[in-house]
Amino acid sequence: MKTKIIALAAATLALGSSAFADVTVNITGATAFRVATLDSIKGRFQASGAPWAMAFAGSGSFNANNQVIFQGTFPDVPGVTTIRTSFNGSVEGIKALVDSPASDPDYLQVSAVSGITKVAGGNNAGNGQSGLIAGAEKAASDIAFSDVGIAATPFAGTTLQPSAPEAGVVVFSMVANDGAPASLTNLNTQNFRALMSQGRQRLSFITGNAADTQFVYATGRNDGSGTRTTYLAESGFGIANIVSQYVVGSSSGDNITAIYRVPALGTNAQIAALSLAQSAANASTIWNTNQVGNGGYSSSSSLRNDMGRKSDTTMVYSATGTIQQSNAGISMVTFMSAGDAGPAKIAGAKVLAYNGVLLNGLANAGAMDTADEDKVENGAYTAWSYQQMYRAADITTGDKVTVYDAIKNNLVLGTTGIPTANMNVGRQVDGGVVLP
Amino acid sequence: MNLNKVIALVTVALVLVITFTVLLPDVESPHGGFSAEDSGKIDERIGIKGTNPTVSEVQHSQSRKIDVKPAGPFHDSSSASEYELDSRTGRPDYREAKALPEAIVDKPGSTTETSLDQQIGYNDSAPRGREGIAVVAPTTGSVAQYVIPPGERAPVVFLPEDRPLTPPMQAFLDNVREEFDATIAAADDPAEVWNQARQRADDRYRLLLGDDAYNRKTMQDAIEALKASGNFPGEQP
Repeated sequence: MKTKIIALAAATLALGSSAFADVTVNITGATAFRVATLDSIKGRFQASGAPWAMAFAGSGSFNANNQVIFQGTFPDVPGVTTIRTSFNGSVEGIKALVDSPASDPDYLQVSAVSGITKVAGGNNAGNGQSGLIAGAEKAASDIAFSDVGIAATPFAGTTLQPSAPEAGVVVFSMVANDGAPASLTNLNTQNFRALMSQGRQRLSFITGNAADTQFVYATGRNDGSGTRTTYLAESGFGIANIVSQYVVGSSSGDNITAIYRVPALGTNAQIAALSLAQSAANASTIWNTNQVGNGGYSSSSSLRNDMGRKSDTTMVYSATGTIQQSNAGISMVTFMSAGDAGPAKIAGAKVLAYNGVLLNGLANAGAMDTADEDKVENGAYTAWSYQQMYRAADITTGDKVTVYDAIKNNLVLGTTGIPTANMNVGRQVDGGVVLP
Repeated sequence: MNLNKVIALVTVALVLVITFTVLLPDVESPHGGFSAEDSGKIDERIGIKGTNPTVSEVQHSQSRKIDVKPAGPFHDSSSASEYELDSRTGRPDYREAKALPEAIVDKPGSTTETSLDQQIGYNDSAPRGREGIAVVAPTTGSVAQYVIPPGERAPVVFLPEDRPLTPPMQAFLDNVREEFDATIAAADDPAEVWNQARQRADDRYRLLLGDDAYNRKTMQDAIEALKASGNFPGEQP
């Protein structure tokens, strides 16, 4: 009898441990829905009515950070749930799901949040208090957001969950940097492809006015970015083709003082000799096309910030440091999500029409309005993609699926995205024909 | 300008007008490429298209010869009529899988390749032709051979590539071929799903390498078709 009691107790203990096993969910990928995602996660913890806390490494609002960690009681999930985010780009996110541990991103260590006193409801954040933030650690990812489908990546043959991962629609816009000439109001796909293939064009090529002799330079992201994949798909350029992009090397206050064509590998000694900022992370490595000009910004926030600066007297260098223009008035043009274009516009950037269609709300106030959404939802404006929310292939049931569903069903899109259900048009592949 | 020159110029102009208004009307799709319907129009012009084919017509469709390159030792020269009817559906069995010899497994495009130059001409190692296309499945090492239904055409991903491709690009295109393969193989009647599968394969090719590459390949394919038919201006088959 004694043996039976011990066995029963052990079984009960095991059952109890199983029923209340803690779970950690790691989320990576695109930044386009970062705010929507972080707000959704926070909202779920608040809705649980149980104690919770969060922490993040940076400053400002928690949802302005890529690395955030939450811990507490999550609705319908037993035990303690820890959710970590490390937003790093669409294609990089998919790569993290299919190529672990080699491509594991950095997540904040759990100790970053475990030391914070948890309370129910409210905004319980560590708010970046340095004493509360532990270091980062490589970890396998469970969920990845992407501006493009896996079919538009080198990992197209890999299966991820679920079969219908669309979580909304990401809207993009052509953007010129602060101080762009009044005549620069629109880019069509031909303009954009010419810019991307050659790196720069005379403004007259875009405006049709021969007097517009200043150069417009192409800038943008590296090939780990879903934004880049989208602009090369949408324009018909081809997502794996080589582009010619420039990045800002130095700025002073609100002025860009130097730009240069991105070197292969993102960096080289000649650019370093000019004391220009450079980064190996700017290299494009996803398609094995690490060539001069083909790199770009690894971070949307850096590009967004630079687009908010003027370029009236700017040095322009080749990838090997040769002067292409000296103290010239130039413009820079790129393509970014509405979530990035809005803050860029507030900082001074100019939202351009795409193929003659302008998102007026975004252009005037930095946020899409109802009329802008109507243009997207009904097919007049085609610079958009589905935001995909993938799970790793082996996550098909259990608490991680519960967390996935809860976040996806409660995304706080605001003006940065459109619910898929609102769309009256669709497309079969990224950049494909938009049809009712 | 003498009279002979005037006559010569008028003749050239007439040839051009006939070529582009009679031989090739409405062949450009809204997206700059050729749709299946367009391809069918070309085929009708060159006299190789059957309309609304029956099973029998599909089974015995005329051989379509374009760009029949040296197929190597694995070329399947079976004509359409050699495909047997599927006992379950009564329709022609389009798919013929066979073991892939080691020589093809090791061709550029497999995961073992590293050289850009070696990537060139990957498709040239696979048997193909207007009468059929071969789908090489790198992961399973099998070749599937299909008959192109009348009025349809092969996805451009099966046409020769004229540029170096990196291993990730090759892997992407391999996946496009495999997806097409899986769609056709799973269909009771490949002719019914061919156009949709071809459209998706072409969309994904265009996604990867752009409209220009897609247009270049479809134009080249159409030119080869015209040349093979003897209707290409100034050339004999």
